[in-house]
Amino acid sequence: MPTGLMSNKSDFTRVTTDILIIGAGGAGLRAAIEANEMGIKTTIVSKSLLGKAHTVMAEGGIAASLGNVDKEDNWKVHFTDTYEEGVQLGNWRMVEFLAKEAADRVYELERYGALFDRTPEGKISQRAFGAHTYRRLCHVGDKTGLELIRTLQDKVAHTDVRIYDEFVISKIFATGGKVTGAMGFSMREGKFYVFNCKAVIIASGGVGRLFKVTSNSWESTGDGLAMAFRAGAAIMDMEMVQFHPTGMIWPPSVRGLLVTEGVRGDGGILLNNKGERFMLKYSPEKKELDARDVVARCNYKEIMEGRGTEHGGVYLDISHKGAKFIMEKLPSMYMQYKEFAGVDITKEKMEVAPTTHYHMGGIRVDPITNMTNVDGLFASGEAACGVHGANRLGGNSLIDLLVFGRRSGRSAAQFCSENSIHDVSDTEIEEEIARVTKFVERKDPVNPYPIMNRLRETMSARVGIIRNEKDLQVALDTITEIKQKIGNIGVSQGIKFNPGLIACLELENMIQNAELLVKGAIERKESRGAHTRSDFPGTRDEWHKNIVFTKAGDGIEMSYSPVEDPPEDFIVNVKKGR
Amino acid sequence: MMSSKKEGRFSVPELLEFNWRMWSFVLLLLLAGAVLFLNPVNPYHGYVDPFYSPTVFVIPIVALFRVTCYAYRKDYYRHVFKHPLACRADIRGEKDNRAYSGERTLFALNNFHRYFLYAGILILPFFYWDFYKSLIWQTGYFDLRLGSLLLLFNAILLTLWTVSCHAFRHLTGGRTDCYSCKAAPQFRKKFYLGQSFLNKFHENLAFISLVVVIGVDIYIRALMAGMPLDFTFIKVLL
Amino acid sequence: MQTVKLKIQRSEPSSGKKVSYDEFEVPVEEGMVVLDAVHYVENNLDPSLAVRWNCKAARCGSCAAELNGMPKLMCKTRVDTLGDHITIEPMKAFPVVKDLVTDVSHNYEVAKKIPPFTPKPEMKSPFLINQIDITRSKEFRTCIECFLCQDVCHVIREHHSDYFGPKHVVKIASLDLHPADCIDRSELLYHEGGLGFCDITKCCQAVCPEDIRITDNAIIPEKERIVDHVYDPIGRLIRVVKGRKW
Repeated sequence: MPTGLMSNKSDFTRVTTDILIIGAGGAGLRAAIEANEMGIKTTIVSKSLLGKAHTVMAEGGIAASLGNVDKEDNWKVHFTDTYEEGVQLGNWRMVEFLAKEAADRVYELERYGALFDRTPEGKISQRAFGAHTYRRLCHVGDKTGLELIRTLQDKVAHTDVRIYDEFVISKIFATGGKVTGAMGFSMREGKFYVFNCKAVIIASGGVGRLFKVTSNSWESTGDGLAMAFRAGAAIMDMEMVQFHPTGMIWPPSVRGLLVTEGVRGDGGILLNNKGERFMLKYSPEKKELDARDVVARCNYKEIMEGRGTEHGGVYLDISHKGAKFIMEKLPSMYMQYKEFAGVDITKEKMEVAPTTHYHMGGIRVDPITNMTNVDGLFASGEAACGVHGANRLGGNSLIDLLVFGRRSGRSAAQFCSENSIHDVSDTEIEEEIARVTKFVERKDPVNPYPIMNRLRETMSARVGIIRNEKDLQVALDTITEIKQKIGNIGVSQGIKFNPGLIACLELENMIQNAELLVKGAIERKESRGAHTRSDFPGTRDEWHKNIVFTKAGDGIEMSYSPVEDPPEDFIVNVKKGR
Repeated sequence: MMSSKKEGRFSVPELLEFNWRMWSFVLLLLLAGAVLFLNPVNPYHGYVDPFYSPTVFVIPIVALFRVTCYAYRKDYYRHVFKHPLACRADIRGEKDNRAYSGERTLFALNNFHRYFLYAGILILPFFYWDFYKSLIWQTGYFDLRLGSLLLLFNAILLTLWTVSCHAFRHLTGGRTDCYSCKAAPQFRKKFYLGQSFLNKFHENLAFISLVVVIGVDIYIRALMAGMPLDFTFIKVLL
Repeated sequence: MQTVKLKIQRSEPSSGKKVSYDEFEVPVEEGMVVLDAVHYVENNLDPSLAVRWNCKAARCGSCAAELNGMPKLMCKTRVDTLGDHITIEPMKAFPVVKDLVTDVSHNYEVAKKIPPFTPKPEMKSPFLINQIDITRSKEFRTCIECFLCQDVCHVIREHHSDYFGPKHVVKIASLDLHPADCIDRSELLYHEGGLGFCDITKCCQAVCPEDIRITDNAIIPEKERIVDHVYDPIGRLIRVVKGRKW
């Protein structure tokens, strides 16, 4: 037993640990490494197998102002890019940490064994990306996320961090505004576990699967977010969902699958069905490499105004770069189109359309400690909120994982050394076991999947790139209606590896998240970053604030939180649009 | 199921099974060897049969070079010993009660491949020399015939097969982790990449080169038997 | 509407449910992959069908299974390449948890035995590394740990041995070929890793969804490194003279 004491009760196993990390993506693993190095007993749980987390899908690179390719780059430019493209909605302290610590984290990753592409001088090579002033993205071909997660996974495997993978956490316990533990069940064993711990770090990723057309993988249902909310944590900026401008569109099977921004970073151009390079018209300076929200809206506009392709997308063309370049820089894009669509991107154009990609909103955390308003509950990565504001730049999510994964691990370890453990009461455990097992014990259960699909279709249709009051209200009504219907959902067979059971649990979380998301979107009566309202165009000063949701009894309480301006000298004016 | 570790170091369970594929293969090799030794081919109209170049006594070495080659190893482990016969579940012929020692006992000798490679590299120039000699076999004349081209083709195939050898590739570039730490890094790397490119076709080259050697041997024997198979392209007085 | 017949293996050994096959008829869409068909079953016909999947984009390597007997990723295999009858079975090299899900945890135990990346003491961070030195290691870093190569390897399927398996040789090769690394893991492969069991029959290479040339570029080079140390008399002599163990 590497971590903690175990005591077997009749129907669950109790595990005592100091820190429980929910999620084994980049942020969770990095937090585990940090906490373990500080000598704190750490346990990671992960809904999928170790090393399969959504981080593997990250393609383009890690943003860090190393200045290896463009010497002029420094942390202030990175700060300015991130803060300004987030339309001043980010927390400047967090953006500062991100920009300042990025280089250290990248070099640290290299010391852990990551093998980045190099410049001719042998330094880490950096590529251009949307709305980054300089070439800034350290990359490993177009598989940077895979390299990141393998490196961290290896590092963790050689520590005594205890890992429970294929393990669903269904509840976080908090009493009196203080975390006491969490519980869930092992999918492989079909057994319940209760974790009694001093601190919980939520690193469980975003909510991308709320949408039908999404680049997100199976896990991204926002379980951590919903559980944190129920445990009393404040949730912020829920309406801020990033739509990536380029997702695959045909065949239907792969609709939404990501086409990396690296294609545009390496010279890919967007064309409409008339062969016009329309970005010249919308964004003459930055062209295809404008911020994601801008390019996504332009693609959407071209498609809506009838200049789209046969399958309702626009063309993305990189074939002019030649086969050798494409095979070297974008091998998985070549594979992806070849295998799934039968398109040879070294010769033909790709068909792309916007796809749900990232959730800027999430659990509100203290910028310095990454702790939520619940004592001992921490959050980092996509599940947390505050760095990216209203729009995230490409490459900033991977560095977010490393910077804030480490920071959350560090402050949770600190917290553990100063606090003692509190018991989880047996009643709470019994209640939770009953809640989970009822899904598999119901007679004539209602299949959760059609309900889930309806929710996802509604979200994609009504809460997409361009939103308006009417659609949002329809979405909210649908969510309310769905909420009434889930009383009888369930599935046959036991809790052992039963995807239907997990779908039931996820559905409850998804409905919770969708409700907050739509409420936030209705509330924010302006267009800012990724949140675009056709009925309220333009950014409005009175909305320069965050929308915060907290749980109040069984209801939801909404409040506003002002955004603090960064020190003036942090913002540098550099000529944009190289 | 057997635990191969406890099996004893020198047992070769594959050879203890009844295996008509293996024994007919061995018989075929013995017959072919006997034919080569009992019916030697002397140089004929300037052509040297590749089996007898430079002498028939290198044949065991060349044979061992082939037998220990990774391409042939794959072939006989699959098709002679059925470990496994194929990759697809229904045709791979798997049985989990068969004993197996892999390349740990007798077949560990395959690891001496590189020494046969050295010998093979020493033999290679003779094939080009044979080609050259066949051009000038009549004093005072330059004589380009179909047979000469076949000898050249054979020599080139054998060279490609040798250069694309895994052991050769390891010795020239594969063993280093850092090209830029050594002299002439770009050249080393390019040579390695070139070899790696050829290596993709190593199995094909191994097979085709064997067929061509046998083909050339039969061709020369046919000429000796008087068959009108040769053809002169150019013949000039020097 | 065009349909395809799926024959899916069901079982749950821990609760005594023996192997049986369920047949489902699934409508076919253009460009549909096998995982789409399995999802159709899961969403509409039997929500309790256990299948492991994540990204559905051939990036995570979760959905490995044997399709008509051939180990493949369900998300990367188009239905139209397999005809109108598709048999889907779990990977045979690993114990079944339930239906199509197998217990691959042994692989994570093996991974722990492999010494992690250890930079040469003289390397100063940030490292200076030439691009020409990283390309070989990079090939192996595209491994998505789908364990198809482990599944198809006859040494693992049929024989109880201590052979690590192709996936782990790829991992070792990716570390050994890292230009800044200072450990030679071929020794581990020779002694503990049982590389001698591999008879280079190349099924691992044939099934790799990332087209890593596993046998040619990882296994054989590691075998050759072992030859350098163990079978090559000159190499042995050097070792004795220099007083090195490996």
